[in-house]
Amino acid sequence: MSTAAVVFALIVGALALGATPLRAQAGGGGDPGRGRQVYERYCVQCHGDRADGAGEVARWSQPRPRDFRGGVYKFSSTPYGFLPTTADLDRVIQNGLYGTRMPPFAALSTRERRDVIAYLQTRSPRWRTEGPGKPIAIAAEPAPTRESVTRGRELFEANCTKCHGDGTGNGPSALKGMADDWGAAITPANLLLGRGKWARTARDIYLRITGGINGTPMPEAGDALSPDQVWQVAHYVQALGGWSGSTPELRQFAAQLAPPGTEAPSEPAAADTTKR
Amino acid sequence: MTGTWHWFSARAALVVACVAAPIAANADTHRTPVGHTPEVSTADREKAEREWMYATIHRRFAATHAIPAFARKYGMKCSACHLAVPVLNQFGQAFKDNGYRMKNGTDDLRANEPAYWPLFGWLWKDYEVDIQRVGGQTVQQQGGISNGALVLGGLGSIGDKVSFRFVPIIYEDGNTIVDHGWIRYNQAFGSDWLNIKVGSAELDLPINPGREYNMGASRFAVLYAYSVPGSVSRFSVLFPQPGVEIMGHDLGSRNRYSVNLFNTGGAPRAHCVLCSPGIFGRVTHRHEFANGFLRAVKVGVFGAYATWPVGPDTSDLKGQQRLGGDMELWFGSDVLPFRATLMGITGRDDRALVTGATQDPKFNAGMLQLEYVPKLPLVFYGRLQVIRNQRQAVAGSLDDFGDQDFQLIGVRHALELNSRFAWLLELTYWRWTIKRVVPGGGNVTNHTVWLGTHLDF
Repeated sequence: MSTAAVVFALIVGALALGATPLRAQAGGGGDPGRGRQVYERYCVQCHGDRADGAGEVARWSQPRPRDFRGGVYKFSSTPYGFLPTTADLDRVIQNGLYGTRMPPFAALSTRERRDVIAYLQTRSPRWRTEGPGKPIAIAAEPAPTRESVTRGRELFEANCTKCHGDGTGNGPSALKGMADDWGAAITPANLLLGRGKWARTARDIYLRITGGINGTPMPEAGDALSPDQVWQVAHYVQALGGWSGSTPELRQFAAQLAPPGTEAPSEPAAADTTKR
Repeated sequence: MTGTWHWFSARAALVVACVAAPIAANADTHRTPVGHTPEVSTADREKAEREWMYATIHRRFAATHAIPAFARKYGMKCSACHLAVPVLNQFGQAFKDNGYRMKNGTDDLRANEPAYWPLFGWLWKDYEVDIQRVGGQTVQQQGGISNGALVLGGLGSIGDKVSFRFVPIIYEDGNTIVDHGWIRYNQAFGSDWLNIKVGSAELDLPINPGREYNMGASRFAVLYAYSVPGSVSRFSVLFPQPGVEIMGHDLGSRNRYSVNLFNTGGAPRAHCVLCSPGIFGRVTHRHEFANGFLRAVKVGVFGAYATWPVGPDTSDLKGQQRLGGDMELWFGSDVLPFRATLMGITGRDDRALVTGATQDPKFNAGMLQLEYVPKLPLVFYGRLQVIRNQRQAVAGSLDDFGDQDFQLIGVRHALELNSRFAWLLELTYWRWTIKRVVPGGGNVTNHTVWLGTHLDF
């Protein structure tokens, strides 16, 4: 009996000491109050107590942690300049950003992720005045072929080598030095690594080409490229870097092509046969 | 055989000689060779066995938690992985299951600053007051600052595929023991479901002794370490076992399994290479709820079968089995939860492991642990344990001979908890009763107040 009393007293005392009222549910289903708790446990060290990207270890982080106050998120499925969807934020939280200090938080529960997103959406006034952008419509993916890869190389040469150079991120602009909107030095992605910070598949590459990367010099394609052309560039990058979904044949083929920025393609660009 | 015996006897002597707890202070340190008939009474040997066991627990698990090296490597607070240091939360569990990797391209040492090296240190010191009562009479009161220690260990991932752990503990009295030592190959065939660890590794227990509260006194582990009165076997699921572990998990570690094939630690090895084989396995599932006060439930089952050699030439293997189930309930918040953990275990040993036994002894045990984290550096906790001998090895023994009751309450607060170090304070009280073990059939009860500080860096 005495044991039970001790345990009961412990529980009641602890609950009384630590009880905090739950706030009303925020839009999107997440609770920003609980989200703050999640943030303080997992995020504050990099993103800072004020969500300004100036946490304790931010000085050692390259690239720098995101400053949430401006409501500018680099990776989203929405057009350049628009707020990301909740699914976009959830994806980054779940998968992390490869090669950066942002780890994957797949072990967090759905509710934890939902709550912390709700909290992040209280950190910028943009979320009160704007809604998330409409996700970019992704055209049906044509089957990658030698011809589409060759065309993609030409388009890459014309549009991407300025920054990405031969694919490793050594273009002329990169060599001069580049910075993002927060003033931090950045380098173009090395596409030969087979995956990007956010991207793993040709579909992800398509989204990045189409939507660009907010807050960086990576522009959206806009009307400069048709959907088919975007797929061609995506297939070229996919084959060049051995990304997920690329075939050995196309990887070998892409490797035989002259690197972008060096000389003309070794094969003439054939008619676009990737259209379905 | 000689090397094993020297190792074993040295460790036994070391731990018994150095522990401050009063029950250990009364220990009979003249240990009988394992597998041989003792020349002391069953009751005396039972007492000595128990003292040795808990002394060992005290030593081994006083320091088996908190890895600031990871915080330094990944730039995260200790609290990212620990519900309250050192207890793992789900994120920490997934990190551990991944071989102490984040899997975000920064695990390989070559992806980190050259100055980083996966080394960490722990320092701790505690003050303890013990009152021992026998048959309702206080027979001993003592207190003092215990023997502190420094741990300088290595743990983490070297390449993307390889993780390791090596943890020597250096005590103030000059003694050194080596805790876990293993190497793990991560994601064989590219799958999270196949990870292979070789070496002396902890078993995947429901409430992991190496990652629990009571940083200086792991007496909570009485349930795991229990052996039936008079048993010569040293096997315990509590201790790391030398062998091979195969484990796997899904993304986020909500479904997991582990299987350990081992040679029972400390067993005499006179006649063979794999003298005393054993196996341990556990399967767990965690379910999270999208709404409601109940946030998550984790359930698991586990079992072990180990052998221990007996007889003049230690060639006769005798078995012990342990079966158990556990359930964790997370209430209120995933981040600052009220957590309840229930566990039950049943054990059965071969009668040949107990001198003079007339039947196979059996016991049942249970544990209830409650924790509450009102805010991040603060945790309150309580723990109940009961051990009941269902069938005594020697027919005619008192039914409750060797039964145990254990109750504990505590509070822990972190004065510092950042990406470089943690500084913890803890206050704990526990009461531990062992029944019928003194001549005349009386109980022994220990009351202990423990105040400790721990620095992890």
